Amino acid sequence: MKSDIVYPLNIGPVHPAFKEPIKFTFRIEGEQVAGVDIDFGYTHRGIEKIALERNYIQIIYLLERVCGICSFSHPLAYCLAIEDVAEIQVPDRARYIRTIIGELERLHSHLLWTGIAAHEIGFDTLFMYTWNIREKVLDCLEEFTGNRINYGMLTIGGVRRDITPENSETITRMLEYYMELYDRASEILLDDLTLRARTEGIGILSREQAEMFCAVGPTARGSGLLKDVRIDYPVNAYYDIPWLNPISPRDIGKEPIGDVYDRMAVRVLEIKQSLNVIQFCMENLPEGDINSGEGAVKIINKLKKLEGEGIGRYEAPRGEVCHYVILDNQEHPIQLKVKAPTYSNGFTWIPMLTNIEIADIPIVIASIDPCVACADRMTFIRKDGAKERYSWDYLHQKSIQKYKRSANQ
Amino acid sequence: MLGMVYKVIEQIFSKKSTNCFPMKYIPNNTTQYLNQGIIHPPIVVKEGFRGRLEYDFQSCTGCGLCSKVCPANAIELYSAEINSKKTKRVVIYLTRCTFCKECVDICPRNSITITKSFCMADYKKYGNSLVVGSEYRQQFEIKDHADVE
Ligand code: SF4
Ligand code: SF4
Repeated sequence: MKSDIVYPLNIGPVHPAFKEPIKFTFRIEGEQVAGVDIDFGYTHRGIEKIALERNYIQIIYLLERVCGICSFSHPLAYCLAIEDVAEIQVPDRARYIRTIIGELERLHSHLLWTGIAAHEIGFDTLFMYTWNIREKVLDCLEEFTGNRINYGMLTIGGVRRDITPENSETITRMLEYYMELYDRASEILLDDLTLRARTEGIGILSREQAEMFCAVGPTARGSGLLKDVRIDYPVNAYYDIPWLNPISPRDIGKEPIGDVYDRMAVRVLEIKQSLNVIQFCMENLPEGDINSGEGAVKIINKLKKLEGEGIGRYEAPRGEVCHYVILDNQEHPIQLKVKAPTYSNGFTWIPMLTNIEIADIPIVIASIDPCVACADRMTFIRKDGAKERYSWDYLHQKSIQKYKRSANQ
Repeated sequence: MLGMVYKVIEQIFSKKSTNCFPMKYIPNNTTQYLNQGIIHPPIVVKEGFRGRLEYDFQSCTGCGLCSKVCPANAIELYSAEINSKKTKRVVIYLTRCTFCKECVDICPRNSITITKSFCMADYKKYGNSLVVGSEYRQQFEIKDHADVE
């Protein structure tokens, strides 16, 4: 309902509805959101800076902690970047194992998200249900990697632990369990009347807007963009999977309009896709080495003699992660840049949140699967405690100055 | 309503369904208590679980590789005097450890091993139970002034 009375509504930075600190300032007209301002920067941890003081192996474990859920995607993108510089060939078996863990991670992330989405609209039974079935994939990951999250599986040039026959049995059992459940679960998630009523036509991000804001991951695919790093820039075993296509709501016969329902449909379909990819990898798992056989110290010593820059891209469950490193004959990189998916997707909140009702705010915010801490890359705090904002022009000027200085030296 | 009251009273007087915590209050040999239903058996952890580290002081050569690769900087190298020879040894701060197993993989003498024990809670952060190898440190550490220079 629209009304003449306009009032501001502040949510955050610390609010029970959010898992992480972020501030929204809504301009409300009656029951409707007329405008929104988003304020990042409350949970900056300085990971990029810390990384410059650690050696190449230590950074892997640091980057696992960029995000609790994407704890494989971030170090993987970093390893890909380093392998890009050092021109290290990853053995085939390691490529497949990397794919399997990546897809298991996607599975558990999407199940987690469906639970959170259900919780945000007050459908707590579904929340319990999805989190209950999610335990199976976490158990599988625990048996296979030793941990439920922060697996510690990656090393530069391969993986650290192999899949044993017992592990593959567990994975096969897990696949059967999910394949059996999938039809029932997807029916609840995609056809349930309550869910449809709360998600259809809400939080619309049109295709043009998604393109404009450079949306990534399920957020972009929900708006009908066929964009998936696994297919566009394949790494790991994705080269070998001919049937892999970016998921779109068209796969269930629905023209995408970019609402919350479409994003949910994409995630539900990706659960099935992940299961198929894992099955493919398990069936075609090549024999051979899982890493170069060199110890961590040897790898560090080798990288110490290199210079150059590398880039690694990988499709995390929430969208594209991208890591950029510069090596310069040192034991640690001299520059590391982390780009998390929420960094791109965060801006799509503005068109999504405009003209919706207050009650829909939580589900629309949750619909891009935000991870605020991953996206916080820079914070300026002045001595008096006030935050300072630097404009694009200012930062551009600064970078030119810096570049000129170092070029003159 | 009456049923609820009854349930609450029953809960108050029934035996506790949790174990004592921190784990050090649980006696080492628990089989006798199991039958009486006083404690719950520990949870079975999966194969490949990474838990508490153990350190073999005798076989360590003090090469320092473990402290170099440790991502959490949880391993500290100190100077020690063993059999009147100057050497180095390590202590591992479990409160900082992330249980990544890098130190176990890198150690050339297999002096660090990983166990499946996950019950590590204690009151003191730097107490003996949470610093692996601290008992040797107290015994053998020498203050090395050459290092400072
Ligand atoms: S790597 Fe092994 S031998 Fe070397 S200092 Fe560490 S524990 Fe001792
Ligand atoms: S397990 Fe990892 S974090 Fe723990 S002491 Fe060893 S190297 Fe350090």
